[in-house]
Amino acid sequence: MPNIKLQSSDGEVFEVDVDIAKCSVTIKTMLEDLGMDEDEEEVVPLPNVNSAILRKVIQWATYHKDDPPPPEDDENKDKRTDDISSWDADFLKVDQGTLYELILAANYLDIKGLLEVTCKTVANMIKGKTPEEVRKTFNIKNDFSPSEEEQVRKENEWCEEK
Amino acid sequence: MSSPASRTIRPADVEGNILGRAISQSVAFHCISSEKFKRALWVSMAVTEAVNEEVQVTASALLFGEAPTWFLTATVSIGDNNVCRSTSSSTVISVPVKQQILLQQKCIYVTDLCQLDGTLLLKIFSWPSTRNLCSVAQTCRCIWEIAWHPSLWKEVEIRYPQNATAALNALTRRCHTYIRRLIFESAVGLAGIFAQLPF
Repeated sequence: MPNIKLQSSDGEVFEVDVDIAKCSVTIKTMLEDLGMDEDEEEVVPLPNVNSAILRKVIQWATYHKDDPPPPEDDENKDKRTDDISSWDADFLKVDQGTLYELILAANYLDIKGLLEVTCKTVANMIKGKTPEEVRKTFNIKNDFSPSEEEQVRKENEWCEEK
Repeated sequence: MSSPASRTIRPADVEGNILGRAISQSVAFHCISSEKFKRALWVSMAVTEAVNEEVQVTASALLFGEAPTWFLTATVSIGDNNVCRSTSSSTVISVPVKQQILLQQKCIYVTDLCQLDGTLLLKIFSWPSTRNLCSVAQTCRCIWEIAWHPSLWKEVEIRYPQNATAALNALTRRCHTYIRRLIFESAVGLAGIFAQLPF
């Protein structure tokens, strides 16, 4: 299998199987546009991804290399978030900063599967929580004034369970 | 892509161009203003060392201007009297214009959910149920704004509402024009409500 060299923002070079790297639509398009010969010794700089995150991304892509391509249809997607595989769940047992960095990297590199599973993981951290509990989980500062907060609460009363 | 040539930019090139000021742990960067490079884009920076009032910053940048584009990695030490000592290396990269644009997205260090940009928050908030979305919407202003984005209100599921009439009224006010699918489960007190609905 031909390899490709990816360089992280902090200069570390990772040698990756081209087929694995191509799960990133960004890299795939770049390679196609450049018309790179696969035996050429080129380094693709990825200035938005640091080495710690790139290492994780490559680990994810390697594990998922034989996955079928994700469906294009976003409109009718199943809103389930409890279908994260145990491997992915373990893989995403990281601090919130790393999780956000992975979301940014997945978005930049255009890796749909990784973006979906990372977003679902954040969504699961919201599930079943009161606004105050959500704030605690994500360290969100409540910037509503007391009267605004009351108004906001009232406007959302309707969706509370009886 | 031609094979990458390596060349070291003389420290003087960098010294004259980088204005860095280290303020405690955060580093504010000023863009390179130089005749040689029309535009510089900082793609990453990190404080790598802070010893004896000297802060070492490693930064990478893409330098546009004269072809070809340079990918520059510089380590700058900034002392307390703002004297910069720097070492740098750079590599020619020849990337098509399209990819240059692609590479221009900034590297941001995100530690906070609200620091993610709106499109990513929309992707995250497309997963929670209506009830959980309402809950997260109440946490802060930035999320409140995003939580009412039309794309999040195409499918609404309300189960066991405290007051079905209030729920429908709220939906009518906020987002009824976006809804494509509305599930109402175990709702009571709906008498007469349908007469009020505009859709």
